[in-house]
Order: sequence, then structure tokens, then C-alpha cells
Amino acid sequence: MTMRSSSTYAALGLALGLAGWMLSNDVALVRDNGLMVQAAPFRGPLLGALVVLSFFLAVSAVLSVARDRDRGTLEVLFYGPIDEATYLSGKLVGLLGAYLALMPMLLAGLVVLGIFTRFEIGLRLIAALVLSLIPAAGIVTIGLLLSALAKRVRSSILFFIAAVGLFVGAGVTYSFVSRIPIDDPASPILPLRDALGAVDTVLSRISPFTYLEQVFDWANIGSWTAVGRSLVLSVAGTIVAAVLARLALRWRGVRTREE
Amino acid sequence: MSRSTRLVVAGIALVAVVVIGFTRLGGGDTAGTEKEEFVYYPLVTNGFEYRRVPYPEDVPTMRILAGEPVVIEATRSIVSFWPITREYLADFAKLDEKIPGVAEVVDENGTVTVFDPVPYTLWYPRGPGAEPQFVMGAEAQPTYDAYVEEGRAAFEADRQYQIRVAVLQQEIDAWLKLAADGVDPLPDPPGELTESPPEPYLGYATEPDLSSIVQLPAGSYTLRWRGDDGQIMAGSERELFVAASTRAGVSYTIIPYDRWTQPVFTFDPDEAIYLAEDQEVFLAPLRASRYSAHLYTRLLDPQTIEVPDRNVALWVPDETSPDLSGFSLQVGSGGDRAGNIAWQGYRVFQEPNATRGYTIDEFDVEGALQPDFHAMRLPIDQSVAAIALIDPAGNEVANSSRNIRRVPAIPRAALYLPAVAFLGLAVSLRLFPTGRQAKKN
Repeated sequence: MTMRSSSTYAALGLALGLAGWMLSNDVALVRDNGLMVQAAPFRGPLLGALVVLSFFLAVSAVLSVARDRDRGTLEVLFYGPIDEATYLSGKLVGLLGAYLALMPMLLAGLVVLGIFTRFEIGLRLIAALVLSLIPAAGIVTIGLLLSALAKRVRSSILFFIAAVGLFVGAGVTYSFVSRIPIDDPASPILPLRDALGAVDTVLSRISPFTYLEQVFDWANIGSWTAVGRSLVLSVAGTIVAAVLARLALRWRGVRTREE
Repeated sequence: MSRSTRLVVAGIALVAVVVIGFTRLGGGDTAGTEKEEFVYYPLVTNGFEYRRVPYPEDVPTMRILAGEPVVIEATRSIVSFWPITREYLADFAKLDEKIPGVAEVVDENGTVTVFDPVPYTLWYPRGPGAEPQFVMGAEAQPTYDAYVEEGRAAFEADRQYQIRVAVLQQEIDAWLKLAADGVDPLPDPPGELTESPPEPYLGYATEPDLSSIVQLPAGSYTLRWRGDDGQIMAGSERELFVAASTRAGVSYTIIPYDRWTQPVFTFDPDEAIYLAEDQEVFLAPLRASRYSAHLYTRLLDPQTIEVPDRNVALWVPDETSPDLSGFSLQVGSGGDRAGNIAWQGYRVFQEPNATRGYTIDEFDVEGALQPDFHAMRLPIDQSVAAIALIDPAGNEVANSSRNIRRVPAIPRAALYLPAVAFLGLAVSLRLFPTGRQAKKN
């Protein structure tokens, strides 16, 4: 993911497309109902756009280490004065730099949408946009961890799909099972519901996307203490993931196969 | 076993331990285990209604609103865990043994306050379904007595009226019989009953009772129950969390002209009102207070499994039908005051030829008719960008301002223009790669 890459702008286009679609629903709501009450109509579109960009960032991170290993670049690099920490830090800084560079373009696109709709973006959401860099670092680090764990690009993609499936699937399944009416306390659905609830609780606490959403929610209502708490937890999670990524890279080695 | 397999097995085991641990944390006891225990059965309020809520020993925290009286009563009952809703339920049908004694509250400094029993009644001036008034102390019995007296008087007035109606009906029947028999000369028919039926009496008051009534400022306390033997009852200690509202403001009921029966509400002062360019609305202000959603949802349902984040707030109206005579709505544009709109009554008139089948006009007092609603009419003026409630003294009511924005009727496709621009850039870079990218390709 670089600023010269066409996929970067494609991701930005998709992110703004999602934001435009979400805003168009609100515009249709005002047109059909005559009125709408909202504190921050850009909260959903901006968060949606950032999830798209973060997802793209995560995919880039997942591919990066495994691709370098596949091509032999990793091995060549490690003959030089580079260790795992330096290499992973470089990847992290590069991807976050791209994310940072995309922010003004994303904001410009949203300002245009704001002029069209007369919806207000608000300073709190702009602050949340800037602060989203910290949970984005967590997302990138998780991607690097998965990539470091995988031997090949194909495995890293499978790891990523499995991780996303787990994060999304657990929440969706729990939400689905919670809606099943239960009349009998001996129903087998009951322990299943509780177990899924526990899994969902655990996963939502370690998911960097949760912290991204929390930063937006709390910034939106001006609860800066809560924003600070989410950011601290996000940084802690990023550090843990970074340490694990370094250990994984050392364990997996720089070559595709053991020779 | 290979290294990878060992890792996978260890990972699965770790996940299982975590899941089982969390399931145990949220699960509680098994179903069907019954225990006889000390249960608080207070009469608590959320500011609108009073409700009895049981607090078995496994519910360690009682949450109440600051400044609101709460009746504390204690019973012995049978408690069992109900896994479906994850609640500890008291079965008062099996055992409901009142425990005599008094409630004691210990504050954070260790000061103990004893709440000796005082009489209380719940007085519903507009009927049992409406908002009650909590009357305590010396006023409780007179309030109840007045209710009984007024109720009896209203019943008697209604009975007398029904008798008069029945007598008149008998006279009419007799006259009709004479007419049918062809009696000549036929006497004059009985006159019409000109009096209106008496107003129905809606009030209701509960019979006065004697209990410890706790009314505290915000803070954390310990609640306990001292029995008649002078000893603190085992299992009676609970954390008592008394919370006040975190912000006060003004909410608005927004009544659209074209759907006047489907109002929309704005509670939070941070919210803006987005209107279609031709939308006319009426605004009915209502004072509201903000509470922690975590606290408020647990006032009447302390064992709910809903866990809203402690930072989520909830706005609750302080009253249901305020009298805002003398108040006005200030409308402004770009920081300038454009004018004030008075609070007044409006009535909906059904008119077949009207665009929506009705018109909404200012209400002029006519006989027994009442306005359909009271509000302030916001004009269709594109320059109006903000509103605020002004009190009779001419001051702006705190947290009553809202931004007003008229949303233009733009084509939906226009909102995809920024996306199309960047997608176009992506395609261009793919088709016409620049410098280094071209070399790389």
C-alpha cells in the first residue's frame, strides 16, 4: 500500500462510496419523512469509511511479511543490520504513513458530501478521525502478526479470512442465538448462548475494530476520558500484538521452507 | 506430536478455558436450586412510575435516584436462579414473610442514619395509569381521606345522575305508551335532561402504609436492616448507589405538519434538526435530564443482562405535560435573533378539500373544546439556523438550543461523486502508471 498504488485510491474510492451510500439513505429519510434528528450524521459514514480503509490496511499488512518471505526479500534483508523489531516497525510505520496520508483526502471527500447534504461533520468527529490512527496501528499489527505466522502468502490470507470470520461470525451467531425464544431452562440452546456470549465478549475485547468504534462513539458524545481509556487499551493491545509478531517472525524464520 | 499440532491443541485448550471461565462468570447458579433468604422488596421509582422490585442476596447493589423517596421493605422469601433471563427470582407466592425492623444507611464517612417508619401513600390525581405523586408523613392519611371522600362524592353524584336519567327514561316510556294507546288529549312529552353528566373521577390513592422511606443525595452508601431485636439482619447489607442526573436540558417534541400524529423527539442538546426544504413543524419543549444509561435501566430492572457502556447517557423528560405559558421560541440565523414564537394551542380541523385532509390552525377557546396540542410553530424559512427556548423573564433556558438545517433535494447519484473521482484516479494509475511504477511493470 503506497501513495503511488492504484489500489490505495480504489480503497479510498470504496470508502467514500460507502459513506456516500450511507448519507444518501439519510437524505432519502429526510425527503420521505420530512425531518430527521441526529447529533452526528457523519458518524456512521466516517466510521464505515475508516473500517473499509482499515480492512484494506490489514490486508496489506497480512500480505506484506508473507510476500517478502515468499520472494526471498526477507532473507536478503536479514543479512543486513536489520532484526525482526526493525523490520516490523518499518512495515508498521509505512502502512500508518499511508493511512495518515489518506486522511486529508478522505476528509476532503466528506466535506464535499457535507456541502451537498448540509449535514454537519463536527470537530469531535474530525478529532476522532485523527485519533483513529492509534486503533489503526492495532489493526496493522494484528495483520503483521498473522502474516509473520504464515509460511506463504496463501496461508496468510487464509489466516486473515479465519480471523475476520471468527470476529464477525461470533458476534453474528451470538446475536442470532440470543433471538431464539427459550422456554425451558434445560434447553441445550442456553449453554450454547452463554458460551457464544462469552466468546463474543472475549473477541470484542481483543478486536482492534472495537477500539476504533469506541473512539468514535465516545468522541461523538464528548466523553474524552472514555476515548483516552480506549486509546490506552488499544496501545496496550498493539504492543502485545507487536511482541507476538516479533516472536512469530523469529519462530517462523525468514525462509519459506526449512532447508 | 509435531510442534504445530501441539500449538494448535494448546490454543484450543486456552480458548476453552477462557470461554468456560466467562460462561461461569455470567452464568451464576444452576436452575432449580431454591434458597430461603433475606429479600429487600423496595418501592422504587424512575421518576415516572413506582414499582416493587425484589433484591435477593445475589443482587448486591441497589440503585436509586437522588432526592426521590424510596420505600424500603424487607421480607423472607424463596429465591431461585432462572437461567433463561439470568435472574434471581423471589417466589412470594411460596413465602412472603415481612421482616419487622428499620432500614439503616451508612454513608462513606461511616455515619449511620436510621429511617424510622413513616406513613406514605401513592396519589394518582389523573388515574392509576398516569404519573403518581408520592405523599409521605403527616400528609399521607389526609390525602387518602380526601381521595376516599372525593371518590365517594363523585360516585354519589354519578349515581344521582344515573337515577335522574332512569327516571326521565321511565317518563319517556310512559309517554310513548300513552301515545301508542291513542290517548287524547296527549299530555306534553317529558322535557330533555339538560344537565351534563358529572365529570368522571379519575383519582386514585393507595391505602397508607408504614415503612422506612429513604431519600438521599447522590453518593455511595451501605444499606442494612435492623430487626426488632436490635440486631443487623444477616444477608441484609447491600451497596446503595444514589445517582443524580448529570445534565439538565430541554427536549423537543417535533410535530411535522403533514404527519401530526407521528412526532419525532430530540432530547440531546447536541442533536440537530434536519428538515426537508418545504417541511413545516411544530415544536413542543419539555424539560429533560440526562442519566447514565447503565444506572437508569437498572432502577426498575436491576438484574437486566443488558450492559450498556457506563459512558452511554440517556435523556429522560422531567414532566409529561408542562405549562409553558409565557415561554417563547427564539429563532435565529447565523448568530442573529430573528424573532420569537409564542407557545400556544393548536387544533386539527378535518377538511376534505385540504391537501392532507386536515389543516392545523391556532386554537381559539370555544366552549368545551380543547386544543389538540400546545407547541411553537416553526416557519418555513430557509434562513432559520437555530432555535432556543426563552423563559418569561427573557432568558435563554440552558441547553435548549438546537441547530436547524434544511436539507436540499439533491439527486442521490451526486453523493457518489467523491467516490467516483478517486476510483477514476485508481483506474488512471492502473492504465497509465507513473515513473517508478511504469519501470516496475
